[in-house]
Amino acid sequence: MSYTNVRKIGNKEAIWFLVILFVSKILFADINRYVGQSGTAAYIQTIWCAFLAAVIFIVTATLSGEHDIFQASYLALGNVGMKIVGIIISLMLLLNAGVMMRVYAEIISSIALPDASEFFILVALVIAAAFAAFSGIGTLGAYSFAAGIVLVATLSAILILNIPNYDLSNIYPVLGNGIGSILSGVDGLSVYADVFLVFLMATHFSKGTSAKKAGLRAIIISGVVITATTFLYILTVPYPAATEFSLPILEIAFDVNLDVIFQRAEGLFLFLWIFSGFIVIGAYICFSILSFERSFNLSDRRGVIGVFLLIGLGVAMSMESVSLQRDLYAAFYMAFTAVSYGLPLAVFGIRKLRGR
Amino acid sequence: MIRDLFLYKEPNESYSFDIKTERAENGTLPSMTEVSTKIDENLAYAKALLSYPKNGDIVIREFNVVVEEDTLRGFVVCADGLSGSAMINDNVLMPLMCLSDLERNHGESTEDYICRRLIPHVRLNKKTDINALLEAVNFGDCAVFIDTLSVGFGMDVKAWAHRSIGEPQNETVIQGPHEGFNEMIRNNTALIRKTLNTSNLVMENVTLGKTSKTYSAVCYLKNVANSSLVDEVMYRLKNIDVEYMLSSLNLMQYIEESTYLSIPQMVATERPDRVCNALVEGRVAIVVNGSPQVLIVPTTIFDMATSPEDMYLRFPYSLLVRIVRIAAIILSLLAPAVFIAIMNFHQELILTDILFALSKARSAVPFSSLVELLLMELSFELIKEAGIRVPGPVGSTLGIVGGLILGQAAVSANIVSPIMIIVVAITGIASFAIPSYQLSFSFRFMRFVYTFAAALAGFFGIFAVMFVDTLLIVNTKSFGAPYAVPLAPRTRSRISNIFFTEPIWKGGKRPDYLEPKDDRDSPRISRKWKYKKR
Amino acid sequence: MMMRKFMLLLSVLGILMLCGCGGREIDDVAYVVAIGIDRMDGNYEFTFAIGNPDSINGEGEDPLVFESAVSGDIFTAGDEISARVGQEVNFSHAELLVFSKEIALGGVNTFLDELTRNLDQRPKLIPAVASGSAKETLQGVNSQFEGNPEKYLKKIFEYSASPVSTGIDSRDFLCRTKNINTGTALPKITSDDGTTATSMAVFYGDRMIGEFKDLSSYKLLSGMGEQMNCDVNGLGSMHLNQRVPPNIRVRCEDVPKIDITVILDASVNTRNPDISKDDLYLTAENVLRARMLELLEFTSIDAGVDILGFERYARKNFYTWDDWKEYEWCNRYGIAQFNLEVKLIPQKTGLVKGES
Repeated sequence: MSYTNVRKIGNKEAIWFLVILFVSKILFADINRYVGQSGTAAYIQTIWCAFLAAVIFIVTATLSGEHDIFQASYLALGNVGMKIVGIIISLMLLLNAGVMMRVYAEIISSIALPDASEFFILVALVIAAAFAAFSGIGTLGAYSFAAGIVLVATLSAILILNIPNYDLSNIYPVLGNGIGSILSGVDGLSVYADVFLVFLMATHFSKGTSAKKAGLRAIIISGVVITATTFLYILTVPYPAATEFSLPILEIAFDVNLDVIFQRAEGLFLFLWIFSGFIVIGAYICFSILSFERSFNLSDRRGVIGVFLLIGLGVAMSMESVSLQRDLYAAFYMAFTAVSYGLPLAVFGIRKLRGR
Repeated sequence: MIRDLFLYKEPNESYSFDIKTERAENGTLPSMTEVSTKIDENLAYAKALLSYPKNGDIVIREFNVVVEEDTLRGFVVCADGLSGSAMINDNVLMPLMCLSDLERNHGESTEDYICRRLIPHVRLNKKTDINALLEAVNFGDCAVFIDTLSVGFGMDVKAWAHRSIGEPQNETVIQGPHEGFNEMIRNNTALIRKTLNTSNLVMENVTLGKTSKTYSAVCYLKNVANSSLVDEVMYRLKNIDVEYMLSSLNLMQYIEESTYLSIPQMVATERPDRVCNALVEGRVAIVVNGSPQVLIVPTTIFDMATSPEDMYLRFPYSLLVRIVRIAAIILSLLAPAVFIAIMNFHQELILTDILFALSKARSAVPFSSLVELLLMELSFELIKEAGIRVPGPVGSTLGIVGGLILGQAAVSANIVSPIMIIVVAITGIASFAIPSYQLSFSFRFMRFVYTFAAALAGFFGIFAVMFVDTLLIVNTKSFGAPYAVPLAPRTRSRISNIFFTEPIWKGGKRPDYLEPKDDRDSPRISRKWKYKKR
Repeated sequence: MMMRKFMLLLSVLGILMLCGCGGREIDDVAYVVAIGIDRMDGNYEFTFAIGNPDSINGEGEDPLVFESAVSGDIFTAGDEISARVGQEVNFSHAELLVFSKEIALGGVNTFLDELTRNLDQRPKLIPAVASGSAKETLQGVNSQFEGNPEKYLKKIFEYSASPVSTGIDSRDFLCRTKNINTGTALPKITSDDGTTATSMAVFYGDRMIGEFKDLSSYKLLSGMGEQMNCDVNGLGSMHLNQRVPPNIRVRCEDVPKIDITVILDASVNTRNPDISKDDLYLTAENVLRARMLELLEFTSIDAGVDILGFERYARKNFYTWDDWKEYEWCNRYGIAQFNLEVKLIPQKTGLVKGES
């Protein structure tokens, strides 16, 4: 391993980076989506979604031929095509970063800082994202390896501390709302939508790192974590009531009765939430800038970081409230998922068809 | 006297001094580069360069050398106090003045005659560079010039008074060697070489500072240390443009990568065993004359947290001590911040028993928790600083007084609550448990940042600062090695080693981020006695 | 250099903007330990038992200060009391929530919902019903041996080994109100000192529908029978310890058949020397069985609501939630047949040799 100015990302770093991006989704209401769709069989739906995501990813990765998406779009669609693809990805990630900033700020404001204005929290998120953006993808990847293990361990701690509250009878009936509901619950694929980022990272990979291996392993690890968390959530909170809570992991963290110095494990959830928020938002900003840089062949990406951060902040502040505009948020997220899976598949497919 | 009271007297002009602007005078010294064959020129130059006789400790002794029928004039220059008179008398003056009437061999030049047959000193340098010879006088050498010779002779006759080898001041251990470096570079290099008595140990000399000409030595094992690392160290050392380099800790600030980062990027140690261990791993050590701290590069944040004693304790004890140390590190950095966050933002987290006890303790205190904490921290810092400078006998008294004032009186006066004193005391004790003095300083600084962040935004503030702090640490490098390796980025080394110790016989692999020439320092099975059939 | 300046500017801005959200000091908050809700003049009277830190674990005045306010919702009442006491009222350490009987009969969902959605409030808040006025019940709480009233209430109402605890906290209660197939049993406080609850209030949804006098049978059938003492119909007394939960099997036929086996470690003693140990244990078993059957018949025939949670075992007979809903457990429970077996395993102390 050699250390040059541009830090390279290894397999493990890429895997854990993606794991953080995937698992952080379940800190939101994504578990509710599974539970609402499949009832007590929500954990089966998570396995199904992970399987589907893995299949789509394998197909995409096989078509990629170890090219990154920019190289592939250049080969497939020419220079103009590459720029258009780059702009789409950059814009999409930037909008997602802005939306995520707002969501995180709202929730942190509700659960941790009720007296603080969301603007202040947004600014703090922007500052953290700025540090991440300046550090670059290599550093973020390296950071994610250490952070990923700690975050997954923290999540495991919350789940383990909840053992006295588990009731195995809560998983019955085993098929929940039926096999049809389980199989049709493909909107859970949005959890793994960020896997397409491996196709942007390819030029930063160190020797021996493969996008296919990293992405697949990340999906498997995340699938296990998400399935286990969903399963244990259902064991804790019985089905009809399980859909009522907007932050399921916070709810089970609340339920922990420590009675030793601390009485609740909510601090663990705050740690998970805030850290994953910084990494996720930092990652989106980083990749948005990377996409822009690759599309327009910038010599120094640091010049545009400030602009991107301001745009992200603007997007975050343009919404009145994510809670009020839930439909818009849901629609945006579906569009993001569709583009995340569809765009790389399309680009790599065209490249393959053209035989380049 | 009464007359003097009423009669006017012109006042004496009061004395006043102002520093006048002055620039260095260039070209007043006669310039010479090579030793002249004329002794008077050499003598005049030596007197001018060394400001003789103004410089009271420079000694110039003229003498005559009889070489067959010729009587040659000569002189020796040395610094009184730095050089040993007995050595000069025995090795220079006695043979040159009294024994110079030996028969010269056929064809033997005067230079060879003096160098090979008269002067018995083991470290005799023959040089034509007069400046090098005379500059070396400032470091304890003596310079000998003989008429008609175009060379001068320099000899190492150092004999200045210095501290003997004693116990390291800042890195004491209970079990293990008690030798520590002192200010003499040769003593320090000798301590290293006698432990690592291998011919692969290289100590390259580098001179630092244009005027101070401080000697330093770059030490490494040539069969282990990565050549690019050694080259980088030499490159940085040779490309520092300063007049004076007075200690290794000054040098550290010149060659480290991020000056503004709170965390130090190299280890400064007073222990020879630690340096030897580092060299065996493939690191490079820099010894600087005049400083008992030896720098070790590269280093990682996990190396900072290890104590020299870890090598000497049995595995179960070292494991326990390492865990305690990790807890100390976390407490020293985060305890006040977490306390403030819970007191001000997250009261629902703590048990009701504790909550009411804290509330009762704080009810009479007029200040906010943050102000209370800052007052206590400031007092603690003042006591620490005063404790360093206070004379020995008064030190313990000051400690008692400080503790009484801070502990008892402040609580009785309701300036602070008892719980705050406990928090600050635990934090202070934990910071003393950190093995690296530089790292503990860094944590002292960062503790305030975390505390302010906690006071502003509770756990969110703490985690935000933690994210930025850890990101900066991951982003930093120490002589090419990422600072948080092998955790971030992940390398082949075992992660468990950074948090927990392992039995010494399980080691054997050098840290892979150092890219050593030989990645094993011992075989996989080092305890052959266990598996061999007798 | 540019990055450093930019970072510094952002950091300073961020720090400056965060001023003003410095939280509140621990001694500026009034912590509510217990809440009582009564009906008054078409509205509700909320009584808060606020902990007095100076008196808790110390000498002097009462450790609890009682403040009441009449209002439509708990938070408005909280604001009113905050203004009165000069400290912000906080529910995060509240242990007990007492409804008056009138409120319980009318439905408690509003209060439960608004309290549970408040993130400060702890899920371990124990709901209970007062036989009279909730305010008077609270004011009667007098902890003589425990300086901290919150801990005292926790020992009485939260710990499962306590004779007055039904093991239901506010989160469980809320979940059960959402489940049409199950009911809830809450302790009914019957004494003036606010802590004796020998009967339980039975709820279906959020309304109280009845009472049952024997709390001990409920605890034994729920698996909470740790260290209980019962009378053997005047013949003697028994000390029971339930180390394993009851073995419950539900067969979902046209008439649900519920098989229950309760195994208890018992030490039965009698003042009558003429009764043999075997007969005594047999009598004790029959006594316990009769009491538990009485409760089962009450829940099934009289109240018609499954407060013991047999529906959890019944669900195992179905694969999907639709099948389960079709079975209509809530209606069929009323005609369920119970097959109850009680086994007492004699506990031997080993100190005194006696008849085996």
